[in-house]
Amino acid sequence: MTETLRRHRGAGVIALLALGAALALWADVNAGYRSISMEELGQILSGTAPASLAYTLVELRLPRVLTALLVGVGLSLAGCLLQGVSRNDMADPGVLGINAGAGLLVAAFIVFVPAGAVPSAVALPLLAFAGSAAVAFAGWRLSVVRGASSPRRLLLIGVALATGLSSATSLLMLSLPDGDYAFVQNWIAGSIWGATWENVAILAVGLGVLTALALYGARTLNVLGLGAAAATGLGVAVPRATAALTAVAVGASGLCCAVGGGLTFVGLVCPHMARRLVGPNFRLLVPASVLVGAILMLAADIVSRTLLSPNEIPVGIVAAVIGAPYFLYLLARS
Amino acid sequence: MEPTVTPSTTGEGKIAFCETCDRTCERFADAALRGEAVAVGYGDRLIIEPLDVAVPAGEVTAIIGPNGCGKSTLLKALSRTMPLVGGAVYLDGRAIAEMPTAEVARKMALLPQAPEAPGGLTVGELVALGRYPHQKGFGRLAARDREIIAWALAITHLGDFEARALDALSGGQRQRAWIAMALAQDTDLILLDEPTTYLDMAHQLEVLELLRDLNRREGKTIALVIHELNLAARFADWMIALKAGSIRGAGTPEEVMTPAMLQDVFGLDALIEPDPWTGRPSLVSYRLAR
Repeated sequence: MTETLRRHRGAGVIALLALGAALALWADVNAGYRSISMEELGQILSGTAPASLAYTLVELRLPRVLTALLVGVGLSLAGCLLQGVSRNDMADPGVLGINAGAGLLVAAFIVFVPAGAVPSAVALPLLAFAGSAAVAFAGWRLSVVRGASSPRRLLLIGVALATGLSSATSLLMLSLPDGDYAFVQNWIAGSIWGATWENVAILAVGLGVLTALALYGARTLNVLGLGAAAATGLGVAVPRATAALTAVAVGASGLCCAVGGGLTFVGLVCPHMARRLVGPNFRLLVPASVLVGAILMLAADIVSRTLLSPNEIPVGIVAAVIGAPYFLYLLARS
Repeated sequence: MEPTVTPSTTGEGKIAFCETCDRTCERFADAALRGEAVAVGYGDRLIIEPLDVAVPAGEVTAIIGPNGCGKSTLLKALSRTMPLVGGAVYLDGRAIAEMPTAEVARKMALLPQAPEAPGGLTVGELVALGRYPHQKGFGRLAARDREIIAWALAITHLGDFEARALDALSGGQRQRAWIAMALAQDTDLILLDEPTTYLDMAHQLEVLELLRDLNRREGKTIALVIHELNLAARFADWMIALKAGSIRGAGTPEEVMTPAMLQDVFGLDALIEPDPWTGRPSLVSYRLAR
């Protein structure tokens, strides 16, 4: 009876979060130097709006806002999975060195490829994704000792890789002229760029599939939470399940890194917030994390675009400014 | 207890189930879980010397031995949570290594030593995880699953604790919740690694009486690693004594709980008398053997 009650409560919280995400989306669409009224939205939808208004909303703002939402979804999903698989609350994509791998390739592209030789809107997302995946794979390979990887080793190696790769990136950046330096610095701090409808479509489809896989893996994540021995006893092939779920997390964070740069904190903090709301059961925690991630990124995007308008603050910095105090509060409490 | 079995005092290295009883022994052949020439180790160092071991079906088996003798390691090897460097383990006569892990989990449940659950997990949620090997797809609980979960909670006297967080329970209640999870797995065989460690005497008895009831009433085969010799002798039908990675004796408590065996396995000079209440052999006093 009480278990049913709890599940209903969880479903209620998720419905509220979904509503919150919808409101945040509307608020973010309206944030900026020009807000859009319901009336104008109606005009755009019916095709009777002035061309400039339609262009501002449909070609500029909407893709940007949706990208922010999706990046929040993906990073939070990745953090949720990594924290579950490693049974470590401090795990997030940044800790695995994934962001640092992407950052190094992006910096290398700016340093070594002459401007205009390859369109950066195409090259950078691909390089960022390749860098993330390569570092994730290298970390996993290095963590295999006597035929088995352990999440603990994976995290320690990730921290080492992240530090090394960041130093290499800094070294590369020393040779950059000021403008390029600022671009790479912005990228590493985490800012949404390349927000086109094509990228939104890729992100939406990719993250949709990965979220479905995570929901499918939720019951296995719950069992992995009991530790490797108990999980084996319950019939989980622990190494295979861990590798599969980590791959889902790496895919999600790689996609986000490709358009959001080196965003940290979102993947770390959002699953914590979600856990406080719905508890440790991943069947509720996965959807809740994804929604909290969307809300936090939309909120950060609003601040990033309006605080110093018309200038932008990298959204990653805003997210960290929101996330860091909350995280300190969490640590102080536990 | 047909075959007369005397404790083995086999020397190091020799493969032996027990001295008068080899692989042709009835108990060995009909065992619920059987290890043949099982060896475990890292690199060149063997923690478990190649040994034969059997968990007799329908009985309570206690694995005893001093710290570091490999008794937990043996249980891990038998439960496939630790890789073997040699030999094979058979569950109902089939090699475990060749069975899908979920199928093994439908026949054999495992309660590891001092297991930990994520903070905030409720008793009901923990016990529901025991249904994992029986579920498919997204894992919604079917009516049959709910029935078994309710039974597991009732038999462990946790019916009123379903919605309580596991970390808010006492040590004894928490151990019962884990046992309930293993019961929800609905297996004939349950392995437990030191289920009474960290519990006070009353809670130790409570857990062991629960396990014996499950054996007697529900026909579960139970094997556990345990430190307390008197409790082992009191509740077990079969005892396996381990020292330095090899089996020094296997048999009924009367056969294993002898001064000679305790001298050999623990280096103790032991005074053993039948317990006036239970009739089982009991350690009345002991000192380090000179």
